Amino acid sequence: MASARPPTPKPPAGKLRPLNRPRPVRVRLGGAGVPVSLEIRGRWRRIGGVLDQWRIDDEWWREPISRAYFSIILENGAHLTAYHDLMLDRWFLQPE
Amino acid sequence: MALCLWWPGFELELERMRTPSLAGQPLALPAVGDRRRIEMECALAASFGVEPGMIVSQAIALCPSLVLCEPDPDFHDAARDRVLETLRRWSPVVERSADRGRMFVGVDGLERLYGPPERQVAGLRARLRELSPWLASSARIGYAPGKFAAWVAARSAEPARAGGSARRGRSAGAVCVAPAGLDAFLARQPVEVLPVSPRMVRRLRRLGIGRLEGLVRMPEPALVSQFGADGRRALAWARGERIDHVRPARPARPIRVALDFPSPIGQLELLYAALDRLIARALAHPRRRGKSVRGLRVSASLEDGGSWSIRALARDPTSEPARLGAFLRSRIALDRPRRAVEALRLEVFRFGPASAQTGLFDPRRGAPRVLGSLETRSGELLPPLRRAARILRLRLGAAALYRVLELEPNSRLPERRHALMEL
Repeated sequence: MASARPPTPKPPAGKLRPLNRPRPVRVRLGGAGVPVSLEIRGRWRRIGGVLDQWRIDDEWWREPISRAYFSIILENGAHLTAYHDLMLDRWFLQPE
Repeated sequence: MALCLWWPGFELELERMRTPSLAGQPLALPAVGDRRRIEMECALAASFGVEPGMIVSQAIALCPSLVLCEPDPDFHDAARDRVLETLRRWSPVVERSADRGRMFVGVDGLERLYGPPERQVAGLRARLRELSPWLASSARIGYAPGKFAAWVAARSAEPARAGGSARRGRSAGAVCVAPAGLDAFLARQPVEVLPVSPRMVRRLRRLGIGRLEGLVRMPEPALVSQFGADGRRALAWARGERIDHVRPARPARPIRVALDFPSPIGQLELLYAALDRLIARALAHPRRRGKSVRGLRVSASLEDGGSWSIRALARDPTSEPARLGAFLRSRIALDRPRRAVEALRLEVFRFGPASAQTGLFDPRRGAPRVLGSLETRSGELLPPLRRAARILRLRLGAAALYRVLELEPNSRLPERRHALMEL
C-alpha cells in the first residue's frame, strides 16, 4: 500500500549558512530574574517592558534544550526577543 | 478661476494660413484614421449641411465646391504646442484638451500680476499677437470659475472680428463671468454645452429641457433614475456646483529619434525594419533607463509633402523591443502611410513603471516562472539570476547572493526553520 508521506526534498547543492542564529548578549536582571537592561553594541539599553514570556524544553533524548524566552520592548521602542539558555546559563538575542 | 481659449476649426484655419488660396472656400478635414469620413468642417461647409462623421462622398454631394485638406497632424500639433508654450510663459498652469483648438489656463492669483479679468484677456491677446495676429484676433476667450464654465463662456463669446458693442463682462471675443453671476450665466445656456453624450442631450430635448435652467429645476433623484451618474454630474455642472480646476500638464520630456532616408521608401517591410532600429535607439536612450514604455507616436514626412502619424498607448508597459515592434506594426497595419516615406520619427512620450520592464527576475521564454519563486516550473533557477550570481561571485571572490531555504519551517526554535544557500 502506497504511503501518503510527502516526498523528501533533495539536499541543496550549494553551501548552507545559518539564518537567524542566536547572538550572545549581556543582560542585567531584576529581582524576579526578569531582564531590566541589555547591552547592545557596547551600550546598555533599559527595557521598557516584557510583552510576553514562554519556555521551550525539547530534545531531552539527545542534547536537551531548555530556554526561557522573553519578548521585550526597549525604552526606545525597539522590539526584541531574548532567551535565557537554562542549560548553559547564558543569555542570547533571538533574531526572527 | 479658469480661462478657456477656443479657436473653432483650429486645424482648418491653420490650413488657410498655410495656403492663402483656400480663403473663402468651404473646407473639410478627413479623419486621420478613416479618410472616408469628415472629421471637421468650416462654418461655410457646415452651412451646406456638411457635418462631422459624414462620408466624404455624401459631403461632396451636399457641397460640390468642398475642398478636402490633407491631414497633417504633425503640422497641427506643432502649432498647438507653440500656442501652449506662449500660454505657459503667461501662466504656469496650462492644460490642453483633446480638441487641439481648446486650451485652459489657470488664472488664480494672477490678478495682482496682470490686473482685473478684462485686462488679463487683453494682455493674453497681446502675447498671442506676437505669435500670430490671427491667433490673437480669432481666439474666443471665456473667464469663469472652473473649466466647464470657462468653456461655456468661451463658446458664448462672439467672434472678435465680428465687432459689435461690448456689453458688461463681455468684450469683443471674450466673456468674463464672476463667481456671483455664475448661476445666472449658466441658467440661460443650452443643454448642448454639457459634456455628456449626444444621446443624453437628445433625450433632454425630448423631455422639453432646452436650457440649463430647466435642468436645474429637475429633482436630482429623477435625473439619476433617467440618466444614472451622468444625470447627477450634469446637474452639478448646471448648478455651478462642480468646479473643475485647471490641471497643469507637466511638460513631458519625450524621447525623439528619427531616420532620414536618402530615397523615399514605399515598402512596408523596409519601414518596419527602420522602425525596429528607431525602437532600439529610443530604448537605449539614457532618459528611458529604469522605465518601461507606454505611449508612442510614430510619424513620417511623406513624399510630395504632407505627413502621417499614429499615436499608440500600450495597455501593458514594456521595454522589450520585440513587443514594442509588434505592437506598433499592428497599429500601422490599420492606418499605414499613404505615400512613400522620406523621414521616419519615433517619439516615446509616456513611460511606465520600472517593474514592468524586462529584469533580472523575468522568466526565460518558454519556461514560465512559478509565482513567488525564483525557479521555473521545470525546477531550475532562473537563468538571468544564475548569471548574475556567477558574475558577482567572480567580482567579489565570495558568494553575494543566497536563497532562503526551508529546513524545519514548523520548528519551535527559530534558527532551525530556515538557512541560506549559496546560489
